[in-house]
Amino acid sequence: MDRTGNFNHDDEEALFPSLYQEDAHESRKTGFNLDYEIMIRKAFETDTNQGIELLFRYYYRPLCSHAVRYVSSKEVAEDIVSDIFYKFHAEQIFVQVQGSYRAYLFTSVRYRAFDYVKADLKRNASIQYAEYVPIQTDQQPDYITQYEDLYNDVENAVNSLPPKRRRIYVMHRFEGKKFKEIALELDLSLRTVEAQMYQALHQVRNLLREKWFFIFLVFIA
Amino acid sequence: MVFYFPGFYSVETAHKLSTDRSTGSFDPCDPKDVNMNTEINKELIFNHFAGRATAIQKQMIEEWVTEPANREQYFLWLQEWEQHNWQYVPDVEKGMERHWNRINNPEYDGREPGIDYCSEEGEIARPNLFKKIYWLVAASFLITLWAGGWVFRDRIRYETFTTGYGETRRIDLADGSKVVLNSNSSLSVPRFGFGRQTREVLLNGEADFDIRHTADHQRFIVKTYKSLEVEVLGTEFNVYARPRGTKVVLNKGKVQLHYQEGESLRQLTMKPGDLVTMDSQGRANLQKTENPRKFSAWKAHRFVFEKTSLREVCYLFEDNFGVRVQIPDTSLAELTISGSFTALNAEELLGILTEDSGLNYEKSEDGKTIVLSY
Repeated sequence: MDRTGNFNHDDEEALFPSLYQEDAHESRKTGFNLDYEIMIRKAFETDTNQGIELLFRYYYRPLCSHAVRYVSSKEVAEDIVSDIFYKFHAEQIFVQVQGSYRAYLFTSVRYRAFDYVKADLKRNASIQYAEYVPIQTDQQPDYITQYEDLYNDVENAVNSLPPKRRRIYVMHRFEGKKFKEIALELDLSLRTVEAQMYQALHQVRNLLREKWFFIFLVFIA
Repeated sequence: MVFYFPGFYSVETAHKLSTDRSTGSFDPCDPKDVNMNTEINKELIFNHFAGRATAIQKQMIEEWVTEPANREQYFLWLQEWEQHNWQYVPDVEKGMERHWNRINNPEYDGREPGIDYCSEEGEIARPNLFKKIYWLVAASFLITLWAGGWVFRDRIRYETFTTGYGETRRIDLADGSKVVLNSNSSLSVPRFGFGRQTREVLLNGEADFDIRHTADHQRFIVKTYKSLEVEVLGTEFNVYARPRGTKVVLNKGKVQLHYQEGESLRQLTMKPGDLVTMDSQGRANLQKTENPRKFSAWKAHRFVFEKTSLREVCYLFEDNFGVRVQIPDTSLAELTISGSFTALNAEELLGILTEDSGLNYEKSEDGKTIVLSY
């Protein structure tokens, strides 16, 4: 199935060695032209646990890294990815998936991340928006490119934060630092960090809401 | 070169293709060439992922991606792009550990209690109110985690490779060492810390090791379910540890055996060509072998016999193929055979053995037992 993508040798070289050096066993590195999807499927046929392990090795990191683009902390991103792997395993999704596991996993991450942002905007909607709710879940955009639009909007919103606030936000979001640790590192009071973080989340949310709240509403109609 | 394109190719594409250095043989019927024609390429998609695509480009991508093969390509590129633009470096081991905990204990989902930053009003404004609850949640969470971890500690700590009857398997360890696992065997390798301070693996069955010598002369230890440990730095050797007995053959380098004889712990250093067998009382018996490699011949599905009695051949069938071979005639069982045979399964090997010797064999109904006679 991946063969259809004209996946040439150079692409594969570029894709895997540098990224998986620490994780992958040598056998997985040397056997180039090896189709990872097919290898993972084979593993699932003989031993589910081993299949899951390979799935983790190849997709866990890019999936988390993708999920965090939509949400405000890596904990939330990892919760999303963890839920998907759990479902994949517990409900034996791997026997039914049409197309590649890769496409399934990325699509699922996007669905969940999208729902998360939607719920987040709804939960924190101010009175002026409140009359438009409720927003239904499991409604997804009609256009695949809207997912990229969404995370790029999040990115732009974060970039528009004042530098100090942005720094605190980033330390929390990507480095997983607790407010106390950030306060200590930047030599600020805990209260200041909390206030800045609150402002940052508020600001990002407001910027997103301007465009996306009404896009979300369209899905109901 | 002049190309004629049917109407549906845009002029722009045609120009692009004709200037492409590989267009010597453009064939509009070739799906691959037509595919290129869409002008959707990695660069465009990557630009789009980075938020730099124009509205018209997004429109094109939308149309392109409705094709299932293109959709696959799209996610392949998305993965690649993510791997070139890490937002942070997620910890795979941690994620995996959490996953196993969840699978083994569905009530646990590994969420950090109280961390839900989308409702930070509660978290930031009223931290004291929930503090006690947090502690309770945290405590029960830790207890669950600990209990789950204890019950499944081996599954979490070790990655186990197993082989069925008639199957061999190559394993490349993280330190560059290579292991070939013989049939009906298992090898457990620690998931965490392997190669950091020690290299220890647990073997049940038979395996051939080719150990990479590390720069810091780190020891490699093969533990067996018997009270035997093989300690090495970098070498090639074969370990056989089955209920029937234990056997170590050294091809190259030097290894040290640690074993228990009665109450006392003993050590023995082996040189190349040494063959050590342990009897059921745990006594070690050192012999010289002319041809240590024959003990690893199974790696190539080859069976080497040198005056091997048929009784021993029976053991081999049981170990490797799960087939019980019976020889009612004791004098026949003492008969020895020599030679080298290649066989992938019990049937093949049996066929070769009986063909040359004029012996007969009969298979039981379930195929698990074979009776050998004149």
